[in-house]
Amino acid sequence: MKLETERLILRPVEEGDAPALFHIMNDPDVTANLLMSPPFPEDQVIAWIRNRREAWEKKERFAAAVVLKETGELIGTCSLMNVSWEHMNAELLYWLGKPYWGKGYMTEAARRMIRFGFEELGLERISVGCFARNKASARVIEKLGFKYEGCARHEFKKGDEFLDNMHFGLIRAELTRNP
Amino acid sequence: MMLETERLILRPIKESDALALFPIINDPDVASGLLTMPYPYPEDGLVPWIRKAQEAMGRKEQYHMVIVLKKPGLPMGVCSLSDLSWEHMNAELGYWLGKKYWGRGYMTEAVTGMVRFGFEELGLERIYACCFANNPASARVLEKVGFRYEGCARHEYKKDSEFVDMLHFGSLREEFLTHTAGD
Repeated sequence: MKLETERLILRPVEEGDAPALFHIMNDPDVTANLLMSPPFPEDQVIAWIRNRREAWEKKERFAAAVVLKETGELIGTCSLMNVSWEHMNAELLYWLGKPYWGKGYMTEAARRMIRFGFEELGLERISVGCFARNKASARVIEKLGFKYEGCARHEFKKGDEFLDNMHFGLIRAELTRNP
Repeated sequence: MMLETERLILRPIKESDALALFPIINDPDVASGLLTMPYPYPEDGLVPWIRKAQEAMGRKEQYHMVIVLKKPGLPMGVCSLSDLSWEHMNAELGYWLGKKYWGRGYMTEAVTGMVRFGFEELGLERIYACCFANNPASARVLEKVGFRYEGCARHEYKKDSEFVDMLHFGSLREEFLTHTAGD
């Protein structure tokens, strides 16, 4: 199973991805605005990969490795999680290794994943969130076509702080023809 | 464990409540506003549901309380905190009341008691709730209890083959405890 964009391949994560994922997941700059927090020892990374592969089989969660076509490097992940087949919706999640920031890779990967959700999975709605303090992510999310839907205050506890989380949604009727 | 308000008692749900609660939940006007209760409600469905609720309470994952009028003492509905996250110190509020008890402020009173329990006894930081966009009565209860409207998730729920919008509300510990300080 493979999704393709101009510069990237998206495919289910596999055990061979462990070394690359280990570096990215253990970078505090990457996880600063994610719920997950390092450290992630090697065996936990492998367990994470196994869990995600199983979840893809069961169609509960689609966690894709994002691979640069040019070099074959794994640069991050892009997923549809919390899939509800009853309500035909899912939540988008993505993170990228720091050396790959600033080149539009995440927007490109997310666009393909969103298309996968609506076209291949037939979803009605995709949602995405970002911490209120993460303005850069909010900008990417709006560029992807999501509409801001509200802010859940103190939704998550990260470290010693309660953080506000902004919610965005994209529904089938709002899809543009622009992939 | 028992919560008390001016006119009501909230106590943990038990199997013998099934008899009184069945006609309440098997009412389309009550069920239409709820996310997880089917209508018609299966005749033998309530006892297993109550058992599961009790087990979840034992694991501190959910708290389902029956709302009882102090006099004469019949179950009138249910208030719950579920999807408890001890990591993030939050939970989702749920509530329903028999139609014949509507219009007297009982729901607001019971929900206030339940939310107070969540903040004061469980020490939660945030309690959230949602309702269908076409259920203004439910939204009013939340507003009266001091919840803040946080947004609308479009087509979030599929109910009876239709995608419906859900309104989201949240209450924070400090905000609630100061809002109700005068009560």
